[in-house]
Amino acid sequence: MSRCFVMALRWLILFTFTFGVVKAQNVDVWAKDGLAARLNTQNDTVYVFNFWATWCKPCLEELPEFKAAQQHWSGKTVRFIYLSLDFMSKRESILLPYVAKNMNWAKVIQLDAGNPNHWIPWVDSTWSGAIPATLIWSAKGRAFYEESLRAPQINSIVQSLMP
Amino acid sequence: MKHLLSLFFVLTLSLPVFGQYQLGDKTTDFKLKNIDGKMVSLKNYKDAKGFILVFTCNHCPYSQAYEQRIIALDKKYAILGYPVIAINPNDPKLQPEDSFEKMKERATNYQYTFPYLVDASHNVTRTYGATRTPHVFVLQKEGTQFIVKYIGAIDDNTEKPEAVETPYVERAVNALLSGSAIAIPLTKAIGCTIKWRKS
Repeated sequence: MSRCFVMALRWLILFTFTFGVVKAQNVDVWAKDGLAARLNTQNDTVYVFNFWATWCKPCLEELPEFKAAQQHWSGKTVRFIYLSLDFMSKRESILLPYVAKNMNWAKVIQLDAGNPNHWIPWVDSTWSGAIPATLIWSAKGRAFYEESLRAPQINSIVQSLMP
Repeated sequence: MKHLLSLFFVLTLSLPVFGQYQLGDKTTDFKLKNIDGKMVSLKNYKDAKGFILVFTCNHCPYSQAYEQRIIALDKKYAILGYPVIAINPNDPKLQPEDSFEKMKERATNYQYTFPYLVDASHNVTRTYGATRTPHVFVLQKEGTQFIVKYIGAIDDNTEKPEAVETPYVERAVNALLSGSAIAIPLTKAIGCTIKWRKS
């Protein structure tokens, strides 16, 4: 009886531990400085930063388009990053379960960058702050969209920014 | 007549696109339906010195996060001559939670002290150039005109009201009340995109 209990407890600990670690690895958090550093990166890569949130219906609707575009460029120097604007207080309860269930194909980051009035203009001076929004850039140039995008659009923008 | 009508239709559709308000712009009055079924216009408020106009809605978590703060703004500033008017800009076909019935429910449940108007045609929303919820425009009366004095966010921390450093709208209205310049008249914030009707 007590052996059973110990086994169950072991499993419980292992289960909790494993999932905790996996979750933490999956979705990093970027603070303001982290975002700034990434936005200033310029090398041979084309970066696609999609700003989204689990509560944003049009964002979720366009994710399959990004998934298709990402697959299209797989193996090339194109990096797709999905920056979530979900509240930090909803990280454990909503964001991580959503990502685990639906976005195992995606590099998801949670933004915790403080006052948006400071960092929104870093992304683009024309961005009002509505999502979905997408910034695509490389050393060759940059393009910003405060709207939903389709895979062919994403592909042709990426193509135009390939070194 | 039919041509005239379609010309009128095209004009009313296309004009507001060019009319997105900037700071200092004169606004034109509107007439929108409130949740009590009555029509509301700025000119109905004889004693108003201005308005805190908030494009907001039911479904958006950012709007929900600010709901109590919007109610607090009205409680604080309506008596000082700057009442809140809330406008829901979303097409309920795309976002059923933002339907007229649901608006009534929410306003009753949370005891809104201000009108909660429907802009089903998006005309007012386009004229103002609102792009997200919540999106605030503070207006000040000058003579018979209402002038845009502040555009942007309510404050600088959506998630944690207790951690707000700059309550932008309060600062703006306080400045207007004391006749001083608004230090930060334009801010940006994350919000839910407006659910435009698909034509």
